Amino acid sequence: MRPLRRAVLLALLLGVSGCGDPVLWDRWRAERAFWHAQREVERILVRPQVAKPADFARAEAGFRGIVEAFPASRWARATPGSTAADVATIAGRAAIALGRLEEVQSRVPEALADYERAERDWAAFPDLEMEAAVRRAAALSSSGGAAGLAAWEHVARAFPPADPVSGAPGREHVQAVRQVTDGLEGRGRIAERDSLLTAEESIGEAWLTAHPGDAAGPAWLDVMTESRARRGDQAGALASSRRALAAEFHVSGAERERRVLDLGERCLSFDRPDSALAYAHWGVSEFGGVGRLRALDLEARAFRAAGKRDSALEVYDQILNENQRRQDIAVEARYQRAVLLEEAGRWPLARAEYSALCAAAPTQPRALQAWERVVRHHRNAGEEDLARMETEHALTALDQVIGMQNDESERRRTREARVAVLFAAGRTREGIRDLQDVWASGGVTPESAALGEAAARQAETSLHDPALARSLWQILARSSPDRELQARAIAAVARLAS
Amino acid sequence: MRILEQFTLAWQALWHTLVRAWNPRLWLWTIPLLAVQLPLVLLLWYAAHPLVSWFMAPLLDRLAGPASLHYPRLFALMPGIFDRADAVIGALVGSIAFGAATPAFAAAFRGEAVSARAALARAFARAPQLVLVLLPFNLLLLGIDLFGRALGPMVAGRKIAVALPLLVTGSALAMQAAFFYAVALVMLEGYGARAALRALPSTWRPGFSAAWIVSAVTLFLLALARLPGVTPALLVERGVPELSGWLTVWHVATGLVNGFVLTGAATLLYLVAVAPERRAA
Repeated sequence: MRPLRRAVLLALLLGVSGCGDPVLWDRWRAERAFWHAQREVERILVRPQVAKPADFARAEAGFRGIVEAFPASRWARATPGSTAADVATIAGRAAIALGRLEEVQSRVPEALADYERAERDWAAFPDLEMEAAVRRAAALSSSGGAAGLAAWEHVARAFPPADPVSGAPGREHVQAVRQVTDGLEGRGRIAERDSLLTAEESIGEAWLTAHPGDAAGPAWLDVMTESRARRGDQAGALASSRRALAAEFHVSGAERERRVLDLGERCLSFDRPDSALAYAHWGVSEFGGVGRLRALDLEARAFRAAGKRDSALEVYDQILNENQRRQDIAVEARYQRAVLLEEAGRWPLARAEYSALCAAAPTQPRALQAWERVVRHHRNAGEEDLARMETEHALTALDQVIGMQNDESERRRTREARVAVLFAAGRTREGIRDLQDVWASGGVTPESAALGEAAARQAETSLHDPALARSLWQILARSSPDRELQARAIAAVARLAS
Repeated sequence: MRILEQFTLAWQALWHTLVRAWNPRLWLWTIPLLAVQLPLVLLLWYAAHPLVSWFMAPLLDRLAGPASLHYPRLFALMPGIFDRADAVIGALVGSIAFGAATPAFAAAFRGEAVSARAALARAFARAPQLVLVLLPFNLLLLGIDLFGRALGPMVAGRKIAVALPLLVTGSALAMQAAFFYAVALVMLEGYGARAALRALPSTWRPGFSAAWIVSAVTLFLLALARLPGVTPALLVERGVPELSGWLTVWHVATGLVNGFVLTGAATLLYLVAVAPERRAA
C-alpha cells in the first residue's frame, strides 16, 4: 500500500474511532450552553421589569441542561487545572446561576436551596463553594432575620482571609466580615462588632509582618483602615492609610492620586479639614485631569468644613473656569457655589446662581433640586408670598421640562422634582397625589421612595390622616428599593394597624 | 496600447465575464476548491469534536493559542485562522482551479462548447506547472503582507502610517497585474512554469494596465462584499457566535466569485489584447 493511502486510512480510522479528547467536546458543549443561557440572563437584566416568564424559562432551561448534562457526581472529581475541571467550573457556575434566576424572580426559598445544593455539590472547588456560600448569605440577609448574619459568619469563618494566589485580602472574606459587622451594628451589638474588627486587624498586622514589602500589603492596609474607621479609631485608620500611601509612593499615575485623595477624604470625614486641605493642595499642585478635579473638589469641601466659605467659593470658581465645556462638572460647581452663598446669608447672589443653573441646564438633577431649595428658603424665612410666587414659577418651568422631555427616565426625575417642590411649598396633599401618579406609572425609585417616606410622615403628623399615611407606608413596604426604608415602612404599617 | 484602450478593455473584460456568470459549466473549477475549503470550515467549526480534535486541537493550539479551543473564542478567531489556511489552499488547489477555469473561459469566449470536465482534467495534469508559475506571486504577496505588518507598528502615529495601507494595497495590485496572465500562458500556450515566467514580461506592455484596473475593481468589490464593519468580534458580542462561522462561508463564496471574475477577465484580456500582440512581436 502506498504511504499516502496508508496515512489517509489511518486518519480515517482515528477519526471514526473518535480518538480525540471527549472531554474537550464536553467542555465545548458546556461553554456553548452556558454562554447562550448567560446571554438570556443579560437580556433579562437589561430590563427585568419587562422580562416575560418565557425569558426566565429559557435561561433556566439552559442552566438546568448544563447541570443535568454535567452532574457534580461525575465532574466534581476532576483534577484541578484539567479540561474536566473547566467543565466542572462551568457546571458549578450554572448551578449557582439557577439560584440567581430564582432570586431575580423573588423565589428566595428555591434560590437558597439551589445555593445550598451548589455549595454542597461543588465543595471540591473552593471558588464555586465560596461563590455559592456568598450568594446564599446575601439572599438570606436580604430577606432579613438572623439567618443572614449566621450565613455571613459561616462565610467569614469558612473561607481564608487571604487569597491563596495573590496574597491579597480574600474578597469574599472581607465582604462577609463587613456584612457580619453591619449585622451586629444593626442589632446594637457594638462590643461584638469591635471584637470581630479587631481580630481582623490582627490578621492584617500578622500578614504584614510575615510579608514585608509584598505587593498585597497596601490592600491589607486598606482593609485595616476601613476596619479602624468603623471602630472609631481615627488615629489608627489614618496611620494605616498613610502607611498604604507610603508603600505605594513610588507608584505613579492614577493609583497614587487615588491614595492621596482618599487620605484627604478620610481626614475630611474625621472632621480634620486642615489635614484634608494639605492633601487637597498636594493634589491640586501635582495632579492633572480627573485627579486635579477631584483634588479641587476636596479642597473646596475642606475649606467649607473649616468655615472658610470665601476660599471654597474661589475654588468652585476655579473649577468652573477650568471646566467650562463639561456641563456636569460646571453644574455641580455652580450648585455648590449657590449652596455656599445661601449658607453665608448672601441670598440674592445664591438666588442668581440657582436661576443661572436652572436656565443653563434645566434637566440636570442639581437644577431640579435648585427649584426646591429656592422655595424652601423662602418658606424657612417666613416669606410666604415669595414662596408662593417661586412655587408657581418652579411648577411652570418644571411642567415645561416635563412636556418637552422624551426620555422617560428624565421625565420621571422631573416629575419627582415637581413633587419635592410641592412638599417644600407645603402643598403636601397635592404632592402626595402627584407622587402616587409617579409611582403608578413607573414604580418606586430610591428618590421617590425617600419622598414617599417624608410624605407618609407628614400625613401622620401635619395632615393627621393615618389612612393616607398607611397607604403610603404600604406601597413603600411592598416596593421600596431601599431595604432599610422598606423595613421602616413595614414597621410603620404594623404600628398603624395596631 | 494606450492606457485609455486598456481601461476600456478592462471594463469590457469584466462585463463579458459577468454576463457568463449564469453558465454552470464555468463554475466547475470551484469544485476542487470547495472540496477543500468547506471541509476546512467544518473542521474549524467542530474542532473540539472527538472525531477531529485529535489533530485539530494541537493544530489550533499552535496556530492561535489554547484559548482558540474555547467557545465562543474559536468563532471570533475562525475567519482569521481560515484566511491563513486559505492562503496555502489558494497557492496549491487555487492555482489548479484557476488553471481549469482558464480553458473553459477561453472556449466560452471563442463561442466553442465548454468542456469544463476536460479542462479540470487538463489542469490536474498540469498541476505542478500551475502551482510553480504562481508560487513567486504567492510568496511576493506573503512578503508584502509581512512587510506591511512589520512596518505598521514602526510608523504608528506618523504621517506615513496613513499611506502605508495604500502602499501595501498598491504593491499587491501591481504584483497581481504582473502575474495576471501566468495561468493563461501555461494553459492556453502550453508553456511550462519556467517558460511562462520568462514570457511574463512580454504580457506587461499590452496588458499590465488592464490587469491592474481589473484587479483594483475586483479588490474593491470584494472588500465591499466582505461586509466591512461586520467583524467576528462584533458577531460574538451581539450574541450569535455561529454567525462568524457563516461569515467564513460567506468569505469562501465571495472569494470564488472574485476568482471567477478575475480568471474570466484575465482569459479574455489575454485572448484579445496580449496574445495577438505577442504573436505580432
